[in-house]
Amino acid sequence: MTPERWQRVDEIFQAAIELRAEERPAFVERTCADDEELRREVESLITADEQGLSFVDEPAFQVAAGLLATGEPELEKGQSIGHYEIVGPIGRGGMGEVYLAKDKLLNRRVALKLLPADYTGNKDRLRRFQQEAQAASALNHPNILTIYELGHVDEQQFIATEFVEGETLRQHLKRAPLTLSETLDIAIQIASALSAAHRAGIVHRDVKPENIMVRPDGYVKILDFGLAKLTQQEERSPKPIETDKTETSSGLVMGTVKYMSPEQAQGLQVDQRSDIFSFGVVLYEMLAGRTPFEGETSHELITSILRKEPPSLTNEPDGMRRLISNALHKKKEDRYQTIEDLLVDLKGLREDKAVTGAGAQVAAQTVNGSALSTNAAAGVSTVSTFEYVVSGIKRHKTGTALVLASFAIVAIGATFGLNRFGGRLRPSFKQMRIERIPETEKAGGVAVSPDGQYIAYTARRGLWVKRLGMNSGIQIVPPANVVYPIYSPDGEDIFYVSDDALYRIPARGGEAAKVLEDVNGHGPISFAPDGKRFAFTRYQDEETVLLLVANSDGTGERVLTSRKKPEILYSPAWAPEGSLIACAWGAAPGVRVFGIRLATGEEEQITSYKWAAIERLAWLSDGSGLVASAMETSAAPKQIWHIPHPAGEPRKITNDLESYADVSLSADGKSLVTIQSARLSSLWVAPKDDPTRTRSIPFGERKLSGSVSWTPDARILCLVNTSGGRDIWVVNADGTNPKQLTANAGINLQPKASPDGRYIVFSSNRGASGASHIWRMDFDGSNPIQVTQGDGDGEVQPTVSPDGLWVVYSKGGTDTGIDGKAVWKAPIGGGEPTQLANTSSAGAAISPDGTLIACWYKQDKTSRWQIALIPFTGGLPTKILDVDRASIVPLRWTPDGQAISYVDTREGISNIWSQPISGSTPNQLTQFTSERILGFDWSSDGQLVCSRMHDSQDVVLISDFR
Amino acid sequence: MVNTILGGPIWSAAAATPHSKTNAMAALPDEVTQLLINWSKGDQAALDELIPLVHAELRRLARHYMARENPGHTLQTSALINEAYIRLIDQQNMPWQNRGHFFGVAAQVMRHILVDHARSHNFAKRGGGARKVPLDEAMIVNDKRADELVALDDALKALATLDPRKSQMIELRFFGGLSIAETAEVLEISPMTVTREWRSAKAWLRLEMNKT
Repeated sequence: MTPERWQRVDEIFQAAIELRAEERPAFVERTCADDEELRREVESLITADEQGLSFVDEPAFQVAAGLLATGEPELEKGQSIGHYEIVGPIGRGGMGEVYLAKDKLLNRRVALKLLPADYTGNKDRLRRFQQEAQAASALNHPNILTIYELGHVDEQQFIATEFVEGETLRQHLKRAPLTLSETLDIAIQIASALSAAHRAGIVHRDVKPENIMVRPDGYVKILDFGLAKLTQQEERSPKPIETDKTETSSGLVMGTVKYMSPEQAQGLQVDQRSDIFSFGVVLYEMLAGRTPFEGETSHELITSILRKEPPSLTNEPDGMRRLISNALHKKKEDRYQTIEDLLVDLKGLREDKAVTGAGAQVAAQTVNGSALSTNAAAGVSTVSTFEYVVSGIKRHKTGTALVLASFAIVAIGATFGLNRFGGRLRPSFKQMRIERIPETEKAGGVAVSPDGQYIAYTARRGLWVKRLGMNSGIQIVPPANVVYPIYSPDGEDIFYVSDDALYRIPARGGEAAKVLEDVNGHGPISFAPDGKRFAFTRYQDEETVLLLVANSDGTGERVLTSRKKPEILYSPAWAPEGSLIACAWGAAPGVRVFGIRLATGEEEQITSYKWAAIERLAWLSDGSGLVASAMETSAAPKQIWHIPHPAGEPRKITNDLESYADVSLSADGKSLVTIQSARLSSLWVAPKDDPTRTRSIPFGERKLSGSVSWTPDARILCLVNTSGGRDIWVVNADGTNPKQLTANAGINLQPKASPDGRYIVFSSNRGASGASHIWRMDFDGSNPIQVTQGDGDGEVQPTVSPDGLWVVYSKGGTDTGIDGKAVWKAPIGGGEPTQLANTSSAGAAISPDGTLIACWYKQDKTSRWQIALIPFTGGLPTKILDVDRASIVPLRWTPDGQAISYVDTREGISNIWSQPISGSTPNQLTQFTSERILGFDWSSDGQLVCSRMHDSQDVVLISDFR
Repeated sequence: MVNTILGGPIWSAAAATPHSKTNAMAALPDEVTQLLINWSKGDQAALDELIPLVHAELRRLARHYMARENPGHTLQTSALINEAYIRLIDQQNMPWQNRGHFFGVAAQVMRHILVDHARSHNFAKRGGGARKVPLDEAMIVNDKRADELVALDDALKALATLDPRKSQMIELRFFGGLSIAETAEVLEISPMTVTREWRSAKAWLRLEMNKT
């Protein structure tokens, strides 16, 4: 065929297909007249067209992209760049390859970015980039990625930075939509980083979600300060200036166009206001799920940035809308002029939100980054303590009796925590933030340097030093049973105890020197404010403990006072005013803080308050009081307390489910480091018909806790610990596709899907009262609605009837008329609840046919816990089943409805057992040989999921706690 | 030879093995711009220089995206090419209409990558040992798809002699992932025309590919 011929065929074809199908044959017949071949060709084209979609309708690209992206990374594992050894690729930025590498000299992990030679050829530009990147890093801002080294090997330029685990904001946005609270939390951190940079005259130039990392703990880090300098063209001033050709003519506009300010998109000069615009775009996207300016082509996009107003946000508060619109003004003169102004408004929004946050839709606020929400702070409510006690129950010959006792403690602890401290806590520690220091797992003791820049901590029996903000620590004392590290007041030395002797070592490492023998008391030594003397305790013999002072070189020791068993005396803390030493003193479980006057030996009471145990004491530098880690009751976790001096009532700084040991303060009293022990869980799944074949499900670095359950579509609902609460997540049974369903909304517990797949019910303390109630939300986490409104005591352990109409749960409180909890039910749509059992009962599970409720049950006050089957309508048990060991983990029916399964814990090891309702002997289903089980569930097709507990210990930094 | 700006520790001699990185994309943006302008003025040699540069940039970007996206994520072709354009071309010195040439080059690059791959896939499948196809790559292109791609490439060559514009249209739409609007912009015709001609080009292709 010739082109001319084809053109003719094409013309007739195109005219024909405009017609209705039945008209086409006649038209083709008529048009082609007697040209038989032409007619055949047109007809076959029409037939081909009628065959519908062709494979070219789907762009080939995913394949091409796959191919483009395939190919070996440029560096292999084990290869070295200088003293960095490649561990593996992390990602490939537009600005070069990024690897996870090990710094062989300092034995720490770094992210190593190789800069492409085409960007580093211009030495001036390279130097400017380096200056700026370093300047930003030197700001030492917690939200700015720290650069360790800018260097090169031959021509290869590289940047070694701190390695941040987590995901980019881009990935974060993809995974789940952000709530207003979450957006504010991230935005405030970004703005605060930009603010520090702008104050130092540094403009980022490429603010976009790809350059923002969100760590699993909610911390945000901005990457690549100054990097845009390398690639960007020299900006034009309004009048073009003549300079080096490559500078002026290279109009490469770096960064994804979507985030560019109008001036940047035009290649004009940019300043900090350009960052404000880009930040506005990011903020808009976080809330709207799309960017404010769109276009099919970059040309359209740029036009949109220059001319169009973004679609207005509808679901956001006016204040937020105004803020974004003020950031997105086309003219930089009309925008926020400084990021500080924007930051102030963001913080204002967060406070507004905190004030108006009582509605069902609105989550409890967070304060300052990943800090506690006030609701969560007040929320060591029944539920939380409840779960804590479960995990804390020690093995006992009469296990059930102990569980019983724990129920009682739960009730007492809850009332105590809420009434005594709940109310007063809220205002004073609002701005507190708790940050986990990475790579300090299994730390035993910790001290912060006087300048607040370093921590010294013991781990694996050695002593480690770490600069805050850096990822890895450096070991300065090899394993030698090192305990009780403390900095000298000038920060030059670290003192520590090893095998009952006190040593001193230069704070940056060096030769350790023995200072004094027989420093065998509890707790680190404590220096006088001038650093010339220190106080310590010593066991003189089995019976007697002494409080002594000595010169800093170990000479001139002198006894101040002593105590005999069963009284103990430990953890001296030398007051800033110089003449008083505070000590923990008493006989467990009643420990007090007292002070002893150095000059006279006179003793004075610092507070009349008694604790079950005090771990550590430290003075606030202004002498206004002490900070202690202490245990309120023997069932409560150790919390950080503030003990005012000379007068005032002690109160808790932390109020959560973790346990805090050790306390150390920087000289300015602003940084408090402590060791947080958390009880974490891992998820395990077993296939249908074989509960012994459990395997662990990966769930990233997230801290899981407590209960777990299946959704009707065989996904898993679980809980992730945050610093201020617990959030509900859903994840596939193989650990893929984790999705967060609640955020910044207090402590959420025991999520359970309704069998019809409409709702997730859960217990949450997010409401105005701070007490736990039953809530429900849609499956995607939206529409949280409070289902029950019981009085003060916690409502927990919800489960939904098979018809989806009722929530059955446990609740305590005065209207129950019994000690502890009882099983209730309430309509899922809200409405009058009904008490189903009038004796202590908990952990209910509804039979698959909906007629019976199985629960833990006490026939009367003195009887032991048994499993009872009660009618769904309530009333006396139709059957009582005796099992060896009761547990607070809710019961579950096996999917066949023939047995009740429960958790049996012996010597700290839990397994799931099954008690047939026929009353025959129970069977052990799982074969675990370690760890406790905190929750479990059966899927409708018989798969098992359970969460198993282990402990973690990390150094945490608490700031803004006063 | 070795310099650390932050004054960090000096590297050990053993560690200082030179790491030379071959860099396919050593061109400055203005060079790419110039090549594109030359090519649009009819300098065919410029295209030969241009293709490897665009290829390198697309490859870099694709890897960048693949590394950052979730597994299984589908890359948007036009987004990728747009990004490459922004990164490679000095827009101040490049008339907007010349974007079409760039998109043309990018789509050609895509076509080469895919078709080459499909051919070697087929070759490997038929027992030729010249190029080993790694497993993960082999999964990207299944046998049917590989055959289709090779047949399409041949058919497009035939179409190019008969009706170059339609051939390019397929290239832009299918290999370049361009929308109707973008294709119209590149080919400087109306979107209506693209819609119509796209249909006949597809019908023609179907006939042609059924022949072989």
